Order: sequence, then structure tokens, then C-alpha cells
Amino acid sequence: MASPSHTRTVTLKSCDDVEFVLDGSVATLSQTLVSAMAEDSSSSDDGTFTWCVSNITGEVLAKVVEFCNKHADISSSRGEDLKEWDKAFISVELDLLYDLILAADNLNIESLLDLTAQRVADEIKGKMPHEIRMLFNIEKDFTDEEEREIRREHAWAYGGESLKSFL
Amino acid sequence: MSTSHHEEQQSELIPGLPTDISTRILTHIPPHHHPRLRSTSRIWRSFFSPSSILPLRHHLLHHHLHHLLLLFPRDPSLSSPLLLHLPRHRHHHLAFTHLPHLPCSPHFYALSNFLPLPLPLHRLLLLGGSRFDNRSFPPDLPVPSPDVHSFDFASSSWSPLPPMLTPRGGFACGVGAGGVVIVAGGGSRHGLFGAGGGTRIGSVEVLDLGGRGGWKEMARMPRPRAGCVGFFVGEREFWVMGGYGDYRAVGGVLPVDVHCRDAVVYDLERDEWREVGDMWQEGERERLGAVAVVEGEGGAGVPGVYMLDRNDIFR
Repeated sequence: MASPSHTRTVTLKSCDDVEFVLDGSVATLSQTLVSAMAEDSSSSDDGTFTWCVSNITGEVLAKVVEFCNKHADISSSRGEDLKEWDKAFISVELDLLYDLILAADNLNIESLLDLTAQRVADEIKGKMPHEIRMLFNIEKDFTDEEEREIRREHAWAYGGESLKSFL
Repeated sequence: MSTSHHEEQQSELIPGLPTDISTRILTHIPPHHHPRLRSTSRIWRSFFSPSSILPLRHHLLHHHLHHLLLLFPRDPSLSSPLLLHLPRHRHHHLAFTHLPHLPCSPHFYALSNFLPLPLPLHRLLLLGGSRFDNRSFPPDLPVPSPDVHSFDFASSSWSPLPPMLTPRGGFACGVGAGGVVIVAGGGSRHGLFGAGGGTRIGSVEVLDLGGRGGWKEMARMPRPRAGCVGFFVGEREFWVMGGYGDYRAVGGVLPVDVHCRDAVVYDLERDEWREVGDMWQEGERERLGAVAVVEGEGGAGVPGVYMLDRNDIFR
């Protein structure tokens, strides 16, 4: 099927009935929308396309749309600037971050999925195992003895942390 | 806590997120954090075991994998080698991991001039070197080592490989297509020796990593040399450059190493050496420093060759 033309606009509708109107070129960041538009292009001649995202709230969708608009507008944002913008964009609470990840997955937006995944990874990597369990509500299913044994196996890995400062 | 809740916890890497997303998130975590994170929970432990995480990182992150640089500050059986994760971007942190020590022997100490050789599939070889042996006489004379150790990043452990036929340190080595390791030249090179000290050899050996056999002696180099470097050009040519061969005495007293200006090329299929011209003109460089070889980008063929001499770099 023909690729979505730039004249088309896409209306995204959240599960709580908030609507966002996107330019066709912005919507191409989402692989889900691209394939949906390709299937649909025969029926709509007026250049609009509406897509309901049943499991994403308006608050989250607003963030997603903000991200897409910024990233589709290549002329104004390049390299370091965009990185700075991403950094500010993604400095959100973990709950919203989760929702953003799920939305990025649902709409299949590769760059947003990468950004959010990296953000969660950054959150994890500075923490000790007990802090991670607390953060994600993971149950510790090791006995104390088993945990000590794993730590012994990798004793050299714990020691490295303190030396980080001299590099 | 109910049993069902317990089971649910165990099956999810990060509760509340689908497994493919959790996988994606966790593969973004740099390798030096993995060992520590293994003690988070059972499923995290199996996820961060090197045999499962390394292929995943290759698959998912191939476009932004970090370069790894392995440093051996001192004798690797005494101080643990450092694995540096070189950041691709300036704003990323430089981080490192300690690797386990090389297995040590009560008889040998102060290993130096060994050759590290990275292999595909997360392996690293540590070959030869010079060390002291407390059983030899005189005890302060460094002796070359024939030992070959293999480090497997997947299991994070060292294992011994067949020792070389001729012990050597400070030699040329490379790995060719099909996992053939070649070593050439070397000697009992050690920082303790001044000019003219130590031995130089011209012997050449190969080890087929795929086969079960040991090292095989091949055609010798035209002249013995130590402190040289080697690299593969294409699949069958092994180049050996620089280093030093004979020594001469200045005024009959002061021995001076005669540095090799030329390069020799070994043809793997025909098992013979040929000499190629001098790298530098007469008088241009008397003394050669270390020679570094940078692989051609994208298998373009001929690698770039750089020479380091003190602070100068020649090409």
C-alpha cells in the first residue's frame, strides 16, 4: 500500500477520550500507526485518520505526542540539543516512565522505547540489589546463605565500585 | 505472602512490565554492573549470567556496544586485570571491572612481556612472557614462559591451554581465519635486562584452536628477533615488524641492540617467509619503539601501521 503522505493528519484518541492531532509525517515515527494507515488509506480521502489507543491515558499520550513532535522536527533539533531535550523530557517519576514504556511499545516508537529503556537502566545501574528489589517491588527469593554465596563468587565485582573515583 | 504471588514474582524480571521490555531495559545496563545485579533475585541471576546476557547484548545493542580495553597493571597472577568499558560518547562514564586473577604457581613470579590476544566469542588468550623462577639458578635471572592461558568472559574464568614448544616473551602473535594462533620470535625479554641482555629466537609455532592438538613448529623466521609485533593482512599473510635482533658492542664495551628496520611476511599456506623492504630509510630512525597496528575499517584490507617512539608517533 502507498506510504502515508505528508498532507494527511492523524488523530490519536486516548482511552479517556482526549484527542491529539498529529501531522502525518510525525505519525510515521510510530510503526503501529504506519501500518494502520497503510491498511486504511483506501477508504479515507479527506486526509484524516483516527486511531484509538485503548490502554493509554491522555496524560501519557500528551507526553508521547510531545516526544514525536520534537523528534520529527529534525530541522530545529540536532545532536546535543536533542540529547539535552530528551534528558529533560525523560526526567519523570517511575510510574509515568512505566506508562511511557508501555505506550512506546504499544505504538511501536523505536526511539522512545530506547530512551525510556535507557532511563530505567540508568536507574538500576547505580543501585545495590536490595535497593532494586525495593524500587521494582521484587521479592527476594534467595536465602541469606545463597545470597552470601553469590556475593562471594563475585567479590571482585563489589570491590570495583570504590575505585571508580580515581578514574 | 500467597503462593501465586510468589510465582508471579519469579516469572517477571521487572514486575508490571512485559518480559520483552524488561529484557530490553536490562540489556542496556553496562556489563560491569552485571555481577552485582545477579544477587537481586533468582530470575535476575539467570538473566545476568554471561552466557545469556552476552548474546542478548550483541543482538539488541549492536549499534552502540562499547569498546572494551583490558589493562594488565602488573603481574596478572597477583593483581587483577582491569576491564575498561570505553564510552562511545563523551558524557558516558568510563567504568571498569576487575577480572579474576590468573591462576598462579608458587614457583614463578613477576610475569611481564606476555602477549594478550583477543579472540572472537568472548575469549582472550594470554601467551608466554618473562618471569622469575625461584627454582632456577641464578635466581634473579628472568626466564621465558611457555604457558598459554585462556580467559572466557562468559564464565569469567581462566583455563590453561597447551603450552608453547619454545618458551618466549615479547614476541609477535596473531590469530588468523579459522582460529589459528601464530607466534613468532621473542626471547627471554624482561625489563631487568639492559641492551644486549636476554635471548632472541626465530622459531615460529601455530596452534589450531579448533583442533585438539598442541602447538606445531613451522618454518623459522629468516633472523631471530624479539620485541617485534605481528598482525594478519588478509587471511593468509602474517606480518612481523620491528623488534631487535643482534646486538653489537660500541667501543667494545657498551652493548647496543640492533633494531630491525625491516618486516618479514609469513605465508600461512606455503609455510615460508619472505622479506619485505625496510620500513624506514637508513638514518631516518635508528631506534624503533613499539609498533602499533590499527585494523582497517570494515575489513578494508591493509591495516594502518603506526610506530610509537617515546612521544612521537610515526606512520
